[in-house]
Amino acid sequence: MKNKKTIAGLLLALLLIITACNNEAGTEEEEKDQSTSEDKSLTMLYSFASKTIDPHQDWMGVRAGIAETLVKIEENLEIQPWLAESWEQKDETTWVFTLRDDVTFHDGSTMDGEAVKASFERAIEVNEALDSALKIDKMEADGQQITFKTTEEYPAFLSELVHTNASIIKTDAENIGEKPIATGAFQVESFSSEEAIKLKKYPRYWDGEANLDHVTIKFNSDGNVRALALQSGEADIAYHLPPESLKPIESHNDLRVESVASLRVHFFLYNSAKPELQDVKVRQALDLLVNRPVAVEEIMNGHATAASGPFNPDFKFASEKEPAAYDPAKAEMLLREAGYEKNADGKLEKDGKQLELTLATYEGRPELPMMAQYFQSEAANLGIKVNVVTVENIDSYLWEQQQEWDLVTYSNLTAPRGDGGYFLNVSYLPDGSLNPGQINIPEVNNLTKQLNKEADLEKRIDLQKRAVEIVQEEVSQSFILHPHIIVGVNQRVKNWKPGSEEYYLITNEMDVE
Amino acid sequence: MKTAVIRTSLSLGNVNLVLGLLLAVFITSVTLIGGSLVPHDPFQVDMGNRLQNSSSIHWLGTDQLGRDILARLVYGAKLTIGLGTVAIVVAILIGVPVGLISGYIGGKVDAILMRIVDGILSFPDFILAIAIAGILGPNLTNLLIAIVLVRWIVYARVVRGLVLTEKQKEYVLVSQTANSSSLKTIRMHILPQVIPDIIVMAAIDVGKVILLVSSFSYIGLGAQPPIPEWGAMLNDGRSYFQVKPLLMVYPGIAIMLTVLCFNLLGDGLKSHYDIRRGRGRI
Repeated sequence: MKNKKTIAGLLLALLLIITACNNEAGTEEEEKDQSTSEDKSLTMLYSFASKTIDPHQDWMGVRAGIAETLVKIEENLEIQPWLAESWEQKDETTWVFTLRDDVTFHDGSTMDGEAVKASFERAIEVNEALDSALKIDKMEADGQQITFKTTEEYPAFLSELVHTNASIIKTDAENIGEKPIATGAFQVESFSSEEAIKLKKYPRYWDGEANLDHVTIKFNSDGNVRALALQSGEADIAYHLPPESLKPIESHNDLRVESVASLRVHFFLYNSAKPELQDVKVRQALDLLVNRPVAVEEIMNGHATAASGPFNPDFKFASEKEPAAYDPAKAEMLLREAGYEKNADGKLEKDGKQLELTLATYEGRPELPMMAQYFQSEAANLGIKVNVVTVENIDSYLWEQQQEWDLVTYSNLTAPRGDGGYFLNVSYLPDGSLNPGQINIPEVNNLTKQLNKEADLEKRIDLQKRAVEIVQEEVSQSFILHPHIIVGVNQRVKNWKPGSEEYYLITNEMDVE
Repeated sequence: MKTAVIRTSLSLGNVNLVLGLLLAVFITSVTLIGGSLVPHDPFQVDMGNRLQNSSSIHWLGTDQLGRDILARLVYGAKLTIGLGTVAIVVAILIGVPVGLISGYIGGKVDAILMRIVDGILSFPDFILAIAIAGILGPNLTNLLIAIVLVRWIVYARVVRGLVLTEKQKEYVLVSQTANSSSLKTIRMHILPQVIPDIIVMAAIDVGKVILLVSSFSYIGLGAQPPIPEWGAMLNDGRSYFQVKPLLMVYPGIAIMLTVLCFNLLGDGLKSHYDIRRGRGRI
């Protein structure tokens, strides 16, 4: 018995010594890392997980600095050369691009016209949406020149080339989904689907070797987890933080919050197939119940801009109209004009039918369910019953159960490539890919079709403004606010700022101390 | 009646039952009359008064939409406890008859019914309930259906077992020889023997089901906003747990106390019945 105790005691002591040694060794190594700073690395936490990093199918290719496009949009949201040095529009359907001659792929081979052509051929083959966005008919490569012929007169072609899926990759590489070979400042070390990407710098990058040696991008869909990971030091940059999680980060000495206006708008989309909502007065009334200042200040903690139309007010083609003011009294009047009367229970009804609306929302963007609940209570004050349903996959719900919902808290990128034509096409044309509410306004459709053929910039701006004006009169959506992209950053990260476009997250310039 | 139970329980050292009953009295009174004591509407959004601390106006402060937390807790009590109780009652109403029939008649009927029960039992109940609620769609009625569907089998199982033992006893034999119908034998003789066990089980089960309801609302399959179900309140408060942890603490305490109450009651009743039965035999 006594023996056993001694042995146990000895074992325990041994264990303690071993762990103590281990610890010491660990810290020594870490210190060495920092003092020589031979290996600079950074971890970024992103919200939307990538299943694949095939740059032609997923946005992460360009975002992670692996692949690049011919042209990019800059901070001022104007189109700038990137892999293409210059370009020229020969006639209505022909575009000639001259490529840089100093660009190499991660395997060392040079990027030339043939490689770019092969890349585009693969891109439009594997990505249908990109195919319909680019409308490429034919391509011809000649040295460092590539000529595109579009199927129709297509002035938006240049801005569509900003699309991250139109990036240039080496098409004969194996395993493009996990280890694409492209031209960016970083190459893939390893990738585990929906978990993390490990990157290392590409030493022969054309625009100057990256400052960082290694970058890890991890995915986590829970905003609070991202905020905590930043505070614990597990991540250096955490994207899309919920506004309510910012207080501890702002007051932390080693951390800062970067907030930049996004090209996105949060809005209520009305289901035009519903008889109650076909009356424009009802939609106007609901719009008047949206309290934008409160949504911006309270729900978004000030990290947003009130919206009057779909486009970020910084754009030249955005609406200059002031956002509609919150006015429940006027809303009540409009509903009365639309034939709704309060019944004995104080609920609004018309022809014996109570005004009851189903409002769909989703938790992917945590502020949306709050806006839904806020709207629900405002509507209840007026005698409108709003049932909030929280759904998991909002897009499939909206399309597959079109008869169930009346309105939805929705959020779209409206001018992802610096031009509003995209949003007008996908959200208002009857066959648009983001038009589950079946909006169909003939005047807007005509303007959009005109816009698709218009090359003159001033005229394009005018057409887009006119389309937005009609949309505002029709209230086919209630635009609420342009959320800011809120990013938590560790102070040791230098030369880095989030951009509105959210395309170029990892750059060769970013650095750590 | 109640005081009598408490006195005998105390004298027998049945602390569980006493504590459980006291908690039950407290929770029931809060649930039934609390609503009229709290001068706030649990649904009244007040964006100017978000995330307030406790004050003389809002005793427990306000939540992320400026709603009074106490009012929401009290309203949620009715809902959470009510749902749990209703689910158990319905499960008993289905499970007990099935168990009685299965155990008493035996043979093919027993085989078929018990294979169904085994089939459902082979799935973990929480996962099965998630699947059912997920397919039916997220709302409280569907949640209730899902819970009943996974809970009734437990009662069927237990009751069948009890009936099988009771069936062997002489009093049943006597009743059968006296030419009573099966229905009468079950109703007059077997059921009364089974009831105490069901009550004990149900008391513990209510606690379990309340946890289940709250977990479902927490993951978004149960109560939908703005319904102040406790699990849903926990989920709502999750985003604010660094800024205002109390948003999660209050509903958490409420759930804990209620589940504790039912567990104590269940345990207490169990020893209460055991003692009574034990005495009867002496």
